[in-house]
Amino acid sequence: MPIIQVKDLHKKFKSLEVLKGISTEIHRGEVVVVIGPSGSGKSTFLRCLNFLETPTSGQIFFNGEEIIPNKNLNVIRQEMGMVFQRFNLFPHMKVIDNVTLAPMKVRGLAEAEAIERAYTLLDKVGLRDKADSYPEQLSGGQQQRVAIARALAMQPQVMLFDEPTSALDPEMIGDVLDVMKELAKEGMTMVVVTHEMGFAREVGDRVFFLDQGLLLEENTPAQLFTNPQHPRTKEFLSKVL
Amino acid sequence: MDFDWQVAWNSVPFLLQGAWLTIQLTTIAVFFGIILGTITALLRLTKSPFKYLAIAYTDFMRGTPLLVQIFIIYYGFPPLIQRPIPAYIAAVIALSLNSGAYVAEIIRSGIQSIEIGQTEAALSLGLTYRQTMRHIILPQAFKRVIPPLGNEFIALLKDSSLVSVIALEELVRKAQIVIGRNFRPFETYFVVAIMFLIMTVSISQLVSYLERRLKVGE
Amino acid sequence: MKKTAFVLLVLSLMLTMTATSIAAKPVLKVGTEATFVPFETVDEKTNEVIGFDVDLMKAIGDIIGYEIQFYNMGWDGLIPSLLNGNIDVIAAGMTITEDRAKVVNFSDPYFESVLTIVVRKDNNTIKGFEDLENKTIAVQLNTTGDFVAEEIAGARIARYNTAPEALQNVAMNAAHASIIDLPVAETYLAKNPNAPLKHLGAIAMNEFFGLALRKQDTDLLKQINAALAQIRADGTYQQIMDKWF
Repeated sequence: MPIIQVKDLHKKFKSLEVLKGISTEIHRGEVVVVIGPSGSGKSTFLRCLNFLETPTSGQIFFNGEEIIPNKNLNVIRQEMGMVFQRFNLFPHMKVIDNVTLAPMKVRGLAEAEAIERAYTLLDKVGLRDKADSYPEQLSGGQQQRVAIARALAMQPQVMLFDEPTSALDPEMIGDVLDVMKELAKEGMTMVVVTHEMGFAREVGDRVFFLDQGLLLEENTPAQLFTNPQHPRTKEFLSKVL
Repeated sequence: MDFDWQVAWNSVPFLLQGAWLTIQLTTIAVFFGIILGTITALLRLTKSPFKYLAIAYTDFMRGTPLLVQIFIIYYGFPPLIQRPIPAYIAAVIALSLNSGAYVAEIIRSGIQSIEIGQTEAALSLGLTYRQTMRHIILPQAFKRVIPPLGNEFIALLKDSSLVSVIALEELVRKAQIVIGRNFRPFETYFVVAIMFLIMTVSISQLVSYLERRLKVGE
Repeated sequence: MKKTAFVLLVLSLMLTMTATSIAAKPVLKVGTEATFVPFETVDEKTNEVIGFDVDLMKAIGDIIGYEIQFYNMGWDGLIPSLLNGNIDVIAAGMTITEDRAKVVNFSDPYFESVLTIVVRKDNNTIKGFEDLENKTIAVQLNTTGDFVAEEIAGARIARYNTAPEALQNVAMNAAHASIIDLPVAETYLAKNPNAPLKHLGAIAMNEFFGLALRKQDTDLLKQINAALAQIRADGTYQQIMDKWF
């Protein structure tokens, strides 16, 4: 059974149709990289997976269970960590509190346990010494690594990444990508919207090419990058590679 | 007419009684106003039918003069409940309801000024809407609304003199009583101005102290 | 174009008005507080101040050669406005008191009034000032009723901006009684026959209303006193009395 199944997903903003019917499956342990020109709908697609955008029509299944707001959405969101382009750390809380908040309030973890887990994760992203800092005292790259630790602290089954390096200075990008590669290696199921073609090629198990609201092509990176089938894919790749 | 310091000085103890009532009424009203305003602001941001109740309440309170509200509560309700409302209680109700409406708008704009990404991040972690408000949005919003809340506090302090119409002897009314007996409006209102200034400057100081204390993490 | 024409029209109107008032008699600015029926009130239709004091001042103005302009203001603002020159005379049913006479000059008395006590109809225990001890007394701020109430032991005084508000508080049981000028009480009860109130008739001390002027305006005071005497003598005073009482 796929961990995420998408059936005929449509999304309209007023009269603008951003997603025009997308169906696909994502399997446990897979790293799916979503690429496409800006405005193709790739971020909207990702945000529909955990209903930060409510689909106009279509269904999303998680572990075979259809996501229905007011019914199971909250519980399923706990299993889908998300990392944002603009980090979205909570500025009024120290780094450690950012990471322990959800496990304590949502999972009901005892404080000591949450803190222990948080330190383990901060170690993993290389920021143990920043535990008592406030987000504003960190660089963009450091903030994004804290954001990853924050999402991981819920021990989710899937991690969604929405252009996680787009807002970063070039010298910060590497550190964040390294953390993501490490995660992939550990077998985390990941859906990554990105412009980092190197990452897609190196880490992705499958690459989705979205254009004008449609999933035009999906394939292994080796196939998709060297032998694109769709003319739009060719055109896009010729511009970015 | 020369300024008579003795006249001014003699009026101080009597005026202080009025200033004390002004402080009491304003502080109580701000306290209830913040509670009422927060609830109203949260209701306005939901999709429940209470939203329209909240809108009607804020529109009415902001769209009618405080003086009229005081009159309605003091003179309008007793016939319905078959007994007079003590002036003090009527004043507290009127000032709290009025302040609550303004505070609601302040807090609502404070909440709306928090980036949508904060809500999204919280929801994506599995927090409920309620938890998101309580742990993420409101703490940040309150920090941002401290200066406008301080302004509202000061405005209410000055507006509270309107309760004199229902025979409550706050600072301005005490001054009018003094003037009715000493016929020295200038000296008396001079003392009144100084007393108001001391109160409003104290509030401003309190506000900047709170701002400085909560500065971290902004 | 239309707008310009309108503005011009308004401007020329204003000029004409100014011109006429310059050409006409000098103006005497008279301050009052128009919630004191029948001495002064605002005509609901014309928005003008009318009443006993108004007719009296107009009669005086005719004699001494002034155009009378009335200024309606809060009771509390009257004496300060007189002292700082915003008005020249107070005609507001003002009782001549020692304290007031320290800062203003009063004309000869033009009306003798008495205070009364207003209570609810079902009240049979309050008969005089001595029964008001430790009671709540509603008064109009800084009137003689207010000053008299202050002398009553243990009384809690609730001071309102206008006489009708003071009486309303007795009616709704927020105060035990009101101390107020008898003619005001009579008129209020005549106009509000359903009010659950009664007055106890003339209670104690006589008070006299006078017109208040600045201390230094002694010539004007003499003219006004002379005019008052003339009005009383020629029957005008009685005509005004008959009109309002």
